[in-house]
Amino acid sequence: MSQNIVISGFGSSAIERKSDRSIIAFAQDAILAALADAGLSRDDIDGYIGAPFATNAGSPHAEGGDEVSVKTMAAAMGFKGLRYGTDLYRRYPADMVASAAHALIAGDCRYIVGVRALYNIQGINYATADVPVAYGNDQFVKTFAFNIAGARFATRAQRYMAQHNVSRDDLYEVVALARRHAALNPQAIWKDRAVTREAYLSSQMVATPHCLFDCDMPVCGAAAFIMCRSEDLPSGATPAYVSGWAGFQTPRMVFDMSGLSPADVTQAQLYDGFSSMVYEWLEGFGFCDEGQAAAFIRDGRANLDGDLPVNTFGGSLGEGRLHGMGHLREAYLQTAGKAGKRQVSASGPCLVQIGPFDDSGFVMLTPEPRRRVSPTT
Amino acid sequence: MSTVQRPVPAPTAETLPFWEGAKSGLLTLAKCPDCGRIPYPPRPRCPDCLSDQMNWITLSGKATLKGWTDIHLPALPGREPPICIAECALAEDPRTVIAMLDETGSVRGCAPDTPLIISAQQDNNGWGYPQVTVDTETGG
Repeated sequence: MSQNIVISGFGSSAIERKSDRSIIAFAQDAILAALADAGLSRDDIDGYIGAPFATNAGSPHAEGGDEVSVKTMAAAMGFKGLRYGTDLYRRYPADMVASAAHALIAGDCRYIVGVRALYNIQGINYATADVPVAYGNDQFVKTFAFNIAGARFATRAQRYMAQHNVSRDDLYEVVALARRHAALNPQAIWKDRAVTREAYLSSQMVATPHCLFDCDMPVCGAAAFIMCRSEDLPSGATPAYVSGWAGFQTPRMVFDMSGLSPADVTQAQLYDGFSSMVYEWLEGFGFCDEGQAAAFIRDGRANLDGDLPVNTFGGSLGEGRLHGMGHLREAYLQTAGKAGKRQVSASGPCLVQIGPFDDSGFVMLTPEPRRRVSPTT
Repeated sequence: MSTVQRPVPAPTAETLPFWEGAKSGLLTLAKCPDCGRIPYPPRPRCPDCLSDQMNWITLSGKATLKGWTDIHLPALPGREPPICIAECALAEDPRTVIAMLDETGSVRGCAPDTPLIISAQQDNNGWGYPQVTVDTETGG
């Protein structure tokens, strides 16, 4: 049994601002699209990994409403022989890839589908800390409205920008990069909408220093991937090799496991729920020096033809908030050479980072298999 | 579902003294007697040395500014945006960072590490909530 693990297909639903269809319908569309992309049928699937969590502050967290679990999707899809089926609590698609790899390496299952769906229930005020009682950690968060509009990322950005002389003019460059790349992504919710500097600088502020354009758009949408061992790659499917991963407390493990260094990375999909987040890992992994991330983007180094193309699908800022599934899908498409008009020329190792500065998951995809180095042996 | 009041905390044994202190206008947190750590939110044990002999202390209220933001959305009932929030690093242990409201917006435009003073305000719901302003006496 091979230890080489691949993503063998990826699929997305439509991405819409609002819908009268349910989250289950979007998740199902994504699974069927992933199956078609991998050349598999429903009954080939014997594994499932999810990470259901509605991201909006005022979410009701309703199963089948704005979240879907393996239990709901197994029933909706008519899966009958799941040998492995798990949802990760408050984790990210990068962690789903790691867990799916574990199940495949253990031999628990042969074809595992990873599913992540987002949904906006209509008529709910999502941006509010207005709850009668704040339980648990919310005692120290909702009582101060610190859960609203990415407040903790806004305060962090404010400090960073003050310390490094970074302006909103610089933040605009992150948004402009996202919109340029989104123009080449037919699924992107902002594919036809460039933003001028003037429109950006005069737009509605959300949480200083972030304005409307600095925040990804909550959407109804889903994406799904299929993973398997390399010898089980369906005929006609194109693989991207899962060569490394890392959890949030040991980010560099993604390089150690894959035997690669940041200098080997040819492109990066970096989580951009808020524009300032893109700076975090450009500097955190040393793609540029501390305080130089804004210049890195301003100088075009993150462009499709730059030395490290970043968020080549437009990021969440350009595509809509799939909470990292867009980043993972783009990494697969680029690594498998399936990114069409936005395919980067130097297709090599692609780094995926999904989540906040203090709580991210990481994955390394490569076009060729690599011998993974276990961190404990 | 409007509550026309600030969210009411649901304290546990590990957090009740914090909220009781706030009702009296004080910032109250538990300090590890062995290593000096002041975890926030208050935790059952010190996260560094896992001591469970945490001592509740009243803090000076002195802090420095980590970062600030204005929330331009009606995020809290009864408050008009912008709602100014400051992240405060405590003088007693700067690793301890607490986000709270700056009701007068005094931190707006202030540089990182500006001196702050934390107090607590009473809400008409019967609870007290820590709040912060720039510490003008220290030269903020």
